[in-house]
Amino acid sequence: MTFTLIVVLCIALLLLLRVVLHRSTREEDGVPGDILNRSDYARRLPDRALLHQCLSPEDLEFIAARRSPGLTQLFLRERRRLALGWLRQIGREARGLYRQHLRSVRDAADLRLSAEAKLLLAVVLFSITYGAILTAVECYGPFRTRRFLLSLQGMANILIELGNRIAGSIAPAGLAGLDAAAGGR
Amino acid sequence: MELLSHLFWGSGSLLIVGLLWRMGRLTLVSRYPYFSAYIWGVICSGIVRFWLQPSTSRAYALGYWISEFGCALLAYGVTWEIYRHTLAPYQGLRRVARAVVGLLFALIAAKAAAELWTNPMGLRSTTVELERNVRVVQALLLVAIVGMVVHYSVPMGRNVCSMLVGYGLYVAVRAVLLALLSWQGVVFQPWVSMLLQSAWVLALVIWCVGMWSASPNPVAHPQVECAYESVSGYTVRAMGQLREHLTHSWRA
Repeated sequence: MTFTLIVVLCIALLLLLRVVLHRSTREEDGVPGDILNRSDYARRLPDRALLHQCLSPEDLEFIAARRSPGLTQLFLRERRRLALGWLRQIGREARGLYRQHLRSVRDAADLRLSAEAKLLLAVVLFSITYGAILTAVECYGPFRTRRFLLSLQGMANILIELGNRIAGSIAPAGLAGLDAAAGGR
Repeated sequence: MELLSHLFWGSGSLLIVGLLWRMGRLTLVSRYPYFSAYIWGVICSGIVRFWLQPSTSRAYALGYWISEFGCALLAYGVTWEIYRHTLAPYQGLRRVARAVVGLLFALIAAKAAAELWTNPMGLRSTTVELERNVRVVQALLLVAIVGMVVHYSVPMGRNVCSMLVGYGLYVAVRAVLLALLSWQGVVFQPWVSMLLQSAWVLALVIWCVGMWSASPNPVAHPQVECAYESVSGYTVRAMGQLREHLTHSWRA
């Protein structure tokens, strides 16, 4: 166990040293501190309408009506490529944003470990979501992924509603019980 | 095998003399005092071992381990030198690094206390295990520092970069080989000794190349001191927006 841990630690150290050696000098060219000037940030995101157009049910129905397996395959392949392109653009934006943040704050005298950890958590959450959706689109295509996400959202809504109902049915009784206990004293 | 060992010893000696000569000429000895002290420590330990020959005597074994520990302790100065020069212009990063290193030491202390609690005879470890632990702590500290350097893209001069890469490589190889020796329950293996020598010569080559010319660390940009709170808050919000955009865009 100890031996394995030491080997893992040393491999991690060697990998980090390799990154230091191969670090691109271009990364240092960016002007730090200009993150807040990116007021056009929202416009850099890929348009939602583009994804909606890519997942258009009319297009799918039209292709299905042709009854040509080859054409359907081509259509699905192209839509998968488009959806992956849309997703990767968001990934690029996130990476760029985080890199810019790191370059901007490294000079800050009031850098805080807790704030950096909070941001790292946000990045990890984003990466997990992004990775899951990207894998789903790669493996099952955008149409199935969308159906899966919608059903997931539907189930989440049902769970929320159920939770609210349970809380609603328990709370008045609980409050009455508390009132009775307070009155009896 | 013996010929190869002599070859490593000879080339190592030449490289170490070349390194010190070059550092002296460029006045790098005063700029990197802890690193120079480490190199001098290695030279002194070599002289002591030579003086205590033959290597089969008890005095040699004792001198070998004492000089080895002396060098291992001096090597902490190299870690300190890397930390000092790399993070010197970054006040905030230095504070975060101190917190991370403090956390690491607390974890190590907690692990040692837990092991001692479960096995009170654990203090009676061998010299190989003791040196392995010293090197593992060095590797941990280096991982923390290099992790920060990579994460925040902290620029480094050629001198400190070579110091970091050469020393990191040597520590990693040494820690793994010592762990292997301690795992096998032996103190010496000829091929392990050969690998250690080759790692040391490689580290010396890296240091010689890096120290051949004076290259101080690039200066930071204090004029672009940012409002950290607002930048951090902005990035967290933007990351949340990106995640929302990613998941909500699939709705019809």
